[in-house]
Amino acid sequence: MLMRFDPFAELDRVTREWGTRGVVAMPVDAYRLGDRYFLHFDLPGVDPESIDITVDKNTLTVTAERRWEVPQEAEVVIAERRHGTFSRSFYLGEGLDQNGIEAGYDHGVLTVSIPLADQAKPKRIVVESKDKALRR
Amino acid sequence: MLMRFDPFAELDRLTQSLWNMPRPRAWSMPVDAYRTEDRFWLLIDLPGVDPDTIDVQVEDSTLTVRVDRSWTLPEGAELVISERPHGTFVRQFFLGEGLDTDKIEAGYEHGVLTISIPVAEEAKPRKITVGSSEKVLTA
Repeated sequence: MLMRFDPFAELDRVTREWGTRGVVAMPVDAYRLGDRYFLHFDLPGVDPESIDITVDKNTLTVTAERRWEVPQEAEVVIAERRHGTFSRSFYLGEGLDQNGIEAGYDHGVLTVSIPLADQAKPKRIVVESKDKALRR
Repeated sequence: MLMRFDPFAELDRLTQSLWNMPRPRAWSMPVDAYRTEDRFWLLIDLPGVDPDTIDVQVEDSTLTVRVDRSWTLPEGAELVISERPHGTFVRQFFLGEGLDTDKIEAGYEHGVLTISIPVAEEAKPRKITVGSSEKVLTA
């Protein structure tokens, strides 16, 4: 690519939920591998059905809900895990194919993968040579 | 129970090695713990961990959970965001009297480790029958 671009500009770092010890509620790792970008979200103990992924006007939003599932009669001794609704949004830059987004949930980790749009994929430019022509 | 006791006094948050962190961050395995009638339950968030690498041990009255969450970026990958904690994490819990540490059960689902410890028979709440001598009196 001629120009380096940042495909994920986090939309709003202000609205992020922070834990009591300054921990992001839904931490993310993201990387590019070949023709795709991969995002891994830590979402332990979430019903996969409650995970909502939407793309609207170049904004990817992931929302998930974790309910407090302690039985009513239980006597709570430690309560550190976060419950409620978590949401994070990312701005998807040009050059990503929003129609090819795939997602899966495994071992409490949500993986979202976004392919590069065709026009953003690295292309090999063939250097033409006139050698042969010259030799003729 | 006559006496209220705290079966989980958290012993220590020992080693928390964090890998590749852009800024200082405190992360330990967050835990919920509660007691139902006959068991104690520990729910520990451990997303993205190979269940075979989770080590749960009881020695004397200390329950130790040790987990390796190492992660290597796939070869040729270009990192864009790095927030998830990686490394080896340890948490220890002091198990009070009244728990049957021989019958601890553990399971891992959706990135949550659930450990349950039965309350020892002698520590379970018992109903004491109030004796009455009425029958004797009316007889």
